[in-house]
Amino acid sequence: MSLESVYLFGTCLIDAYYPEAGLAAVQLLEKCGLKVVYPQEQTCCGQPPFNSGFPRQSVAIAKKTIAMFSREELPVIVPSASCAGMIKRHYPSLMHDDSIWHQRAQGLAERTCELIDFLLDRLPFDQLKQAPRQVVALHQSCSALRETDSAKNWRTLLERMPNVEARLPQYAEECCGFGGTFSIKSPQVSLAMTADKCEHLMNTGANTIVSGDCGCLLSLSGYARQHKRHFEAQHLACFIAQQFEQVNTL
Amino acid sequence: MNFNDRITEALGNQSLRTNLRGAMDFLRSKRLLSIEKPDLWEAKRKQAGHLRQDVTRNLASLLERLEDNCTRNGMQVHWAENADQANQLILDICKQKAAESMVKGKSMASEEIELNDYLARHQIECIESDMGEFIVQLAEEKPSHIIMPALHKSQQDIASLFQAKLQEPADPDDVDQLIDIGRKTMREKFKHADIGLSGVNFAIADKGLLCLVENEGNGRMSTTVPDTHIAIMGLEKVLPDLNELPTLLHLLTRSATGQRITTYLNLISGPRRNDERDGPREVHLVLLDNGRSQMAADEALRSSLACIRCGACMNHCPVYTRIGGHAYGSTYPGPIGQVIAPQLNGEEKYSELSSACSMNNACGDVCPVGIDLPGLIRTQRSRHAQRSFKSKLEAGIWYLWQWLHLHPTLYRLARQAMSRRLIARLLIPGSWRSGRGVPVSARLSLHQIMAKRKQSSE
Amino acid sequence: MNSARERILRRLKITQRSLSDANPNSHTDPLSGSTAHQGEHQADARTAGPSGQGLTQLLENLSQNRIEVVRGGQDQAEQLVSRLASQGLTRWLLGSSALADSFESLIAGVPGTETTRFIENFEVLKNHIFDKIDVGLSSAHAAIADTGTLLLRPDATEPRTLSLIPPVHVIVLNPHHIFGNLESCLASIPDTALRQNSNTLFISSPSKTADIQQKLAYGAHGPKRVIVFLDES
Repeated sequence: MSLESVYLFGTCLIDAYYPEAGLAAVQLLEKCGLKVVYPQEQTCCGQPPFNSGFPRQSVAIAKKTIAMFSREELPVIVPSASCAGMIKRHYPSLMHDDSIWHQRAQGLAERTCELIDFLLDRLPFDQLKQAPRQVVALHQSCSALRETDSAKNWRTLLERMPNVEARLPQYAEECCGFGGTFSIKSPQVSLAMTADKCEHLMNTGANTIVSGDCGCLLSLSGYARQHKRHFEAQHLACFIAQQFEQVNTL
Repeated sequence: MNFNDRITEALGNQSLRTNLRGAMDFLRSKRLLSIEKPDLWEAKRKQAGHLRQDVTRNLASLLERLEDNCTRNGMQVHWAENADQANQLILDICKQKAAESMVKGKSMASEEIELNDYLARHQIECIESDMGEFIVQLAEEKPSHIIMPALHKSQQDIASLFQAKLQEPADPDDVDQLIDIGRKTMREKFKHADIGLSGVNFAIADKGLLCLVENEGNGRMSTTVPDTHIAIMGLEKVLPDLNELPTLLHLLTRSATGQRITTYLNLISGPRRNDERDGPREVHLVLLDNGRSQMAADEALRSSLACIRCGACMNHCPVYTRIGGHAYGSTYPGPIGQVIAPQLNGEEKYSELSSACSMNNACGDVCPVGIDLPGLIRTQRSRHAQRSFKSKLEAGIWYLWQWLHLHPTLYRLARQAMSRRLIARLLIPGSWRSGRGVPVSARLSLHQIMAKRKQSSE
Repeated sequence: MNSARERILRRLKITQRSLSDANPNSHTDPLSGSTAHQGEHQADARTAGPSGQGLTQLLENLSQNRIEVVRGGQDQAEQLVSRLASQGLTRWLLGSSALADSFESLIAGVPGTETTRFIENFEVLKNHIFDKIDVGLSSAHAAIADTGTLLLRPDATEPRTLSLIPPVHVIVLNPHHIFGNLESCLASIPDTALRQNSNTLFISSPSKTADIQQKLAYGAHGPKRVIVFLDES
């Protein structure tokens, strides 16, 4: 029997800072009976220069990404709403003056799917392991809320885990202050936003924060470490993978 | 003070932060409560978006039609290319009328041209009559929000202000009393003012009507009591037809203050008619360009002319919520300000505003006419990038970055380098490090893990 | 002659022309009106009848909007005048309509009251209206059930400031003139009426503001109280 295959676009932040989240995504996809194809030449989706006002410096990377994930017409799974949003919403407009590339970008956009969106109706929930009750705070990223519309699936997926209680912080729809280069170029406002977000997340009483975007996680956990706030920040993929009977790590 | 200094100052002002948060909470929740049927809301948004975008593409014919019909209705229509021309022609009207004082209903266009200062220099007293504007003027400040000009002030602040400037002792806990002080003060001004100036929410081209929405009645006072009424509007506020007004009002009032309708919807067709007993004897309409015709010609920014000035984008902006309107230093703060301030108030000074955006799209999500504000801010960022030297440097960095990410080997080397704390320390910008420490990348990257995995399965 | 006008229009025309050349199909005649008027909500717009759903909804919304309502005929009108008088609101400003005539005699019947007729130009009466009037009287052309709104069409017999300057505003409404929503009410106003008078006005509450720390306060600049007299006679 040949397995159905999907591409995984791991994203640069996961590759460097949260490889365990990428691995968890692979394991979850495999749990759904899928074969994961991981092109080694993948790097970044090109969002940082794009959002910083340098779209020209992201075109070549976007083209490379499009070409790489178009060798076969497979779904492209992205464990980040932000990068998925970049591909789905902004690649086509980035290629607006080149009809061939525009079409290819459109094709990729249609095949691209945020990880949780993809997993929600495919995971074998009957294989969840028995575990004590856990409380987590869910940070919905702005991209998940307003770009890929994945946030509702994040909530639903956590609801489907009988032992998990996911709490939303106050101002659940407000940005955590990361915003890519915003956090570097407007550090004061960005930190003020992150400080508020940390406080609201901690006010939920949960010790673990889960989210599906590593940019937010990197910013929140960095802030927490620097300011002696104690909580664990986990990618949703890791947290969900832990709820299933496991599985080899390598 | 530059933008960053103003941000620092605002962030350090705890009472400002509290007042802003309170106001944003209030405005956001009221808006949400007023949207009874989300499907209908989306349908109206879409419809209004199309309509307003059509307007931005057909301004020439619409304005000619508007001028025609307004003139036929007895108004006098004037055109101003910029702030100087607008101020000059308003001053000319004042001089013709030998006016000494003017009462003003709320008008952001008049803020844009800084009319108050201009007329003051020519010995004409300009009094803001909207409660919020009145408070802000008394405090010798500028509005910090386009709908709620004084939302940065607390009740206590206002009570002390009235005490100091009006010698009116007031109980800071009694808002009714505070409002009554404003009412009494303003009524004297309305009674004696020679000129009333107002903004315009929409101008209806095919009927020659000016449409004003408000709650306080100061707009009606300014447009009814003085003998001369001058209305000033940004030329994009024209609508083809009266039939479109209800949809736009539906969106405007809910987006702005969460109201299903405002206290007054005031349609003005011209000066006092021959048999009428009251109303101004002259109505002047000033059509203000001030960069708008250039924006209309600018494919990338044209859609921002669809704006109906509801303020929802700033109410939902996490940056505005932290720093308030004054920090922007522009007439229009928040996301819409970041987009249009460079065009209206000068690129030199205001194109840097676009940096203060986390691309969270809360603004785009609530915009009642569907303006892609984050996209437009991105456009302003790239315009800004073409201007400053610092940005040219940054452009270079991004080329380097791109080159690195196009070559898997280089990318791998760079990633590995970042797993050394020392190197990471050097490469991570200080502005990140100071607040969030040095992130050190994992020993084994996902690439490596996946490569091993592939090996072991083969 | 008007060079600013010419320059602005020239710029806008260049844009408009280039856009319609580039995409002739998408060009919609800006003067033909949009589809705004053909929405689904339009269908139920005109259905509100004089005494059924429309009235109930109107009354509900008026009270939500803090507009007081008095219903009835001559007797109730007289009671209203007396009640206001007992609250110290004795000085009425009336226009020159038939409605004003009938109210004048009604008011005269209540001791301690006085009336001013708005039959001179505003300039002459201005100080008097600002300083010596408690109640202004006008009629509503129609009401809107959906929002609790009154349509006023000020004219020579009912000047604009009647509904603006006095601290209390009494509006007489014929309960047969109720529209479902703003769309249908606007559409009912003849074109000529919009131009004929200088002002057409929709009122939905007493004057109010939330400009001080978002706390709602009534009586900002216009009337502090609005009373609708639903004339059922």
